[in-house]
Amino acid sequence: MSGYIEVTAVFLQEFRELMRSFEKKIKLPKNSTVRDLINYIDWEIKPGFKNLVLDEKGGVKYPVEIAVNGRRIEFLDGLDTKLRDGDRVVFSPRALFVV
Amino acid sequence: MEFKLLRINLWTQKVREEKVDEKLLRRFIGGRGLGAYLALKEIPKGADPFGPENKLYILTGPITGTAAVETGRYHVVGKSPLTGILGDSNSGGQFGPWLRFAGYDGIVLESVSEEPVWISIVDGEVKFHDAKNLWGRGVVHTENVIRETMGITKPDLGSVLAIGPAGENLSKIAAIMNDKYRAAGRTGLGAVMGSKKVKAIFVYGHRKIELYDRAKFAQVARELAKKIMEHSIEQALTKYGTAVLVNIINEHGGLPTKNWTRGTFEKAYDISGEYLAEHYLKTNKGCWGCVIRCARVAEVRSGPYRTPVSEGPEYETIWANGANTLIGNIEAIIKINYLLNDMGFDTISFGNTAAVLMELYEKAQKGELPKDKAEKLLGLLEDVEPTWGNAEAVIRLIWKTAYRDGIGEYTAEGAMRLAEAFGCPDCVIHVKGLELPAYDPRAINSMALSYATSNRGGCHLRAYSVSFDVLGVPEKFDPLKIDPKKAELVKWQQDYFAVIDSLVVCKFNTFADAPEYYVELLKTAMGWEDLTVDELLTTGERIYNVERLFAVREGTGYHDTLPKRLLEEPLPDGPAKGKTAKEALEAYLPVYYKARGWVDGKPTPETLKRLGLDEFLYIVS
Repeated sequence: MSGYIEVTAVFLQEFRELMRSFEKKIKLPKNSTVRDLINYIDWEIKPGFKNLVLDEKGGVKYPVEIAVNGRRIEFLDGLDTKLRDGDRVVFSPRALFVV
Repeated sequence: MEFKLLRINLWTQKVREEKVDEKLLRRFIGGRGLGAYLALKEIPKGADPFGPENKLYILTGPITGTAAVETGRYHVVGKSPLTGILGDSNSGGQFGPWLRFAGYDGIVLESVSEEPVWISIVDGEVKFHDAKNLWGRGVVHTENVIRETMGITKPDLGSVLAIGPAGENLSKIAAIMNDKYRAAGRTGLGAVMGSKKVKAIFVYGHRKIELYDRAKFAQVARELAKKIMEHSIEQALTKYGTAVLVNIINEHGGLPTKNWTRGTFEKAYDISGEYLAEHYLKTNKGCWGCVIRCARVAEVRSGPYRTPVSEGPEYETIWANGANTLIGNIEAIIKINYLLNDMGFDTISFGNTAAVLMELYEKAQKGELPKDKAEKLLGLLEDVEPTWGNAEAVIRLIWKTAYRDGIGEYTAEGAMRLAEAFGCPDCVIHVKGLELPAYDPRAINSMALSYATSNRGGCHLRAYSVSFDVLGVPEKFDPLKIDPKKAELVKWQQDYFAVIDSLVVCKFNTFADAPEYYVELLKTAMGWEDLTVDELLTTGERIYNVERLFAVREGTGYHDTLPKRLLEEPLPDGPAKGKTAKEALEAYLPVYYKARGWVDGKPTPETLKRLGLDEFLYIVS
């Protein structure tokens, strides 16, 4: 386990319907970022998730919002925000959201 | 364009029509603004809120009931028994439009009736009816009986505004209800209506609303509707209702929990808009002329919380009677919401009051209240055991509060007086006597200023700064960082929202619209062709100052601060862990006062002169 962290991905509104779940515990390698988490969900849990969340340039698609522990990632390091064990990452389909 | 008030003297049962001068209308618009001005002029200083000197203004605005979207609301104004200053509240449904169709743009209830009455206004004709058979009965029954009496049972035709037993029994947290489930809830004006012994008002008619340029008005209205329907926030409100905020605010750490001692609730998802929509939603519903349709129509089909098909619950109701009391069962909350509506309560004030009772009970058990107070409290509870999360106790408390039975004699007075009566004044979270709504300013720091400077007491609708601190409208801010620009935005929003409440329009429009739309709507509705955005916002500022003057004249309610718990007790959990609201309030208040032209919460003479309020200079000089 020492090389891994466990984070909780939280899906609001239509993302909850898409994932059929409000929360999912996900194991990732240490030093993973928000972008790595999105890639993992896209590969392992819900193919197509990445296209719903990110735009063609790889940025966060408007009006999607992402937060780590209640803080919008734009106030952190964006998609490169590093995740730690126990972090809570929230995905919302629209800009009705937390910071 | 004509704007007519119906003045009803309840003692003499004489009525008279009054045309509002157009210059006055342009200075105060209608609704909240006109009500504030008339109240300051007509309700004398020191008037007893339950006495004949107090008046109740039930007002629409110049675009109410037109083709413009979200114009189905009305506004009530009067001196509040809960706060002792100017009280006002706003409600949707269809009462506002039907009042205008019935022949009047506003009603002023004056003096008091000797016996309980209900009033019908049909195509300009006013009739008084004996309400003894309705006194003591719930809002749903009252509307049903009145509609049968009037022979208009189709719910979309006409409208009934009514109080429940809470208002009759002068509970200071009583609402004025309309269309069974819609509430002008805040500041206890249901009790003012009860003190006047008016059980209900029925309105119906065929008056056509005059518009200066109907074709141009329709064009502007269409553009606004399109903009609103395309906005992502409005789409969320349509699908999940206002309760979409439960998860959002909880994740943010600003969902007040266990009487404001925490910022997150572990059962938030179980009471969220998403959960409600999936399990209990029958359909959604809109007010008159609404394209958002955020209202929930829910039902609990079986079990201890079986509830007939009814509207709600909204975000605030879910929070106040859910997270704040640790009730994590949405079925119980649907039931509580239904009963609170039927008894005619403000669900925010009631939930806060129930949470204070739970804290008092816990303190009494632990020996943390003065002994005599604890004994008195425990002696009054009878069959109510207000432990945290106990939905059955809350349901019993609704009945006891509505009829002032046992502990209900104290809970009917609202949270502040309840906490003071049992020796724990710091257990209640209020501003100027009005219990706070569902956003913790320790986690959303601009709300510290919004709450503290709200003219009607603890309120999220004077300035909904959550919109820029959380929702990113009009721009995104970090809610934990102090930024003086937020103080200016709060002031701007307070002025703009005063305009919105005076028009009278739904505030959900403001996520997508801008003042420019209302300038165009007013130009085409009223013929005010030289109206500008600056003039409209100055009108909002004028209204805000008139409201403040009411408090200054009363000598209370203009000290802008927050309760001790929010200023001194850091949040123990969530993203805002360790934060209080003290630093933010101290940083924002001087910036705000400078922008307002106020000193220590009072408008200066120069400010009044700038706003054309010279007639009220006597209050500040």
